Amino acid sequence: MILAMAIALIILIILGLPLFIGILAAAMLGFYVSQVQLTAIPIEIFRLANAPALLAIPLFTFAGYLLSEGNTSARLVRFSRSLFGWIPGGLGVVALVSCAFFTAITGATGITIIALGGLLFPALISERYEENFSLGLLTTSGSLGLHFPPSLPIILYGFVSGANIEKLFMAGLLPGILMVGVPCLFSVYMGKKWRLERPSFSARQFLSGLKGAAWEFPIPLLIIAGIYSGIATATEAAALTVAYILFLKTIIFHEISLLKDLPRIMKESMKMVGGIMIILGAALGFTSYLIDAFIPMKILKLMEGIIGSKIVLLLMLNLFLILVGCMMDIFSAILVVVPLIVPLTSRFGIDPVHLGIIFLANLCIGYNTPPVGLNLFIGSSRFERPIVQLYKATLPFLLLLLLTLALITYWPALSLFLPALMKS
Amino acid sequence: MKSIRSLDKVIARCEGWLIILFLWLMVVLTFIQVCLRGLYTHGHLQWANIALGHIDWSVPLVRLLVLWLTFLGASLVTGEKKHIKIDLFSTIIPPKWLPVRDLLLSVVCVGISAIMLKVCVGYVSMEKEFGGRLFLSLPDWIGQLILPVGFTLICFRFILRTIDQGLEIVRGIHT
Repeated sequence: MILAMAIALIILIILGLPLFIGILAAAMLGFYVSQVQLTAIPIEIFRLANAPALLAIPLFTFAGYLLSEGNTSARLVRFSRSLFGWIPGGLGVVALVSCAFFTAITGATGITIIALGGLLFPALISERYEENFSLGLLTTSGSLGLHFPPSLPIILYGFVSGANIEKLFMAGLLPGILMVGVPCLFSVYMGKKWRLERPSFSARQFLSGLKGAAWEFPIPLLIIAGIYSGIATATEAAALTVAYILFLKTIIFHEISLLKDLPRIMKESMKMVGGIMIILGAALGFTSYLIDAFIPMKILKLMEGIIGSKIVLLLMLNLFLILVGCMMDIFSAILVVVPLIVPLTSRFGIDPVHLGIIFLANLCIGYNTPPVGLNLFIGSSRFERPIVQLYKATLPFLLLLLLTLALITYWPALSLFLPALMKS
Repeated sequence: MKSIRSLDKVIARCEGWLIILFLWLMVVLTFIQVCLRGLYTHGHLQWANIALGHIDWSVPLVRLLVLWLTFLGASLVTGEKKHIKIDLFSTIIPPKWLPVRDLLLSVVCVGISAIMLKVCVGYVSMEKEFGGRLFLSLPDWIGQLILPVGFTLICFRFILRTIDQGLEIVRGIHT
């Protein structure tokens, strides 16, 4: 009976049941079986109100929505074009860098392809980049930049796994640069191969681009500096970022009117927060059942028999997480999977901070993996191309990213070097 | 049906106003806290510490606002049918069957959120009897009130959706 209900629930979830309802139902089923009162669920949900780290999520989301309003994206592209436009394949580099920046500040919610794709795709085509190359590049770049502060998935991972959020931010820097850098090199290589025309570097354009972007481009750098030096925690940095962007958008650029636009932006951003955090609440309930029933320990026991070494574990983890990444959005994946695998990986001596970086790199690749990677669908509708063409277009980028994933996974020092330098 | 739908609109507007109010509160209070804490730890100004002491209630308040904003936002998302979900079969299922699937899912949503509502009411009334104090000597259960209220709103939205989808199927059969 119980088994039938569990199977029915899984079928309902992949049919499209809202995930928080599905997870709540799973928690209810679990507590019912182990004869625990369902009051355990609201008690867990209420923990959302007692977690200082979570405050960063609404604040950074709000900041990201503020920033995506108005002409920030255009200023950003103009500046990076004046900076990188002159190198071979330069526009590809511009696209990758601007998208990574945008993904970091807007919290990787698929908004990047929608906001920047329309600006960059025609530009790439008019500079004679091949259509499939341009499609693949823009589609994959929709999830790059996840590793840079103030990325929301990092904050969520930190909360769920208990790893230090400031350390996670630092650990993500080098792997993040690698994941953006490798496709950049590919673009340079193709630019050379195709002998694309390119403008020469102009100091005047650079200065005017810099002037336009000078207020906004440093934001992630300031956040990194603030956290790295220990001046601010992630939450404090979030509060300062919101205040700064509000000041910029209303007083410096006059792009947002306090009475006309701000209420709408506030509502939109809090819908995003509500959609994610309600799943977090449900997942807290479900996780507490899992721990009550010793499920992570059972998985650990089971896997210990199968997995002989750390390398095999990491390999299986990679495959598993890519699979998860192509079915679930990144937030739900973190909330559901992290509590299950943390005991297993810590048993094999994998640092939780390193695990977080691997996790995000995997999910970021899963977003682009056929048949159901989310980026592919967003790209297909944004660029009005059949999804099968996108499968083909993203393939070279996917292979490159898999290569970087291997580096990130099997070279822990790449992630753990910077946080070790941090002041505790 | 019409009056229910206008009730839905009124509720959505109130939720919107509350979101704006709470988010402003959150932004302003955290900003003030950060500034005062900075002035005290880096500038060693005594008055900043004293001021922090005067607004010590704002720390738990802001944390509580995270929960309230979550539920208000989630309720609005429910109204707009934009909850995060895994959807593997939309392109495979024959279009004829999609309304039936949607109705089935909505009925399940109504059921689960109704159970949550009942459980949360029980939780809050228990806390009301035995719970502690929140801040500014407010009782704990006031802060927890958002749980039953939130699930009431979410359940209400799912019921509306179920009715809509049921009507749609009935209409589809008749035409």
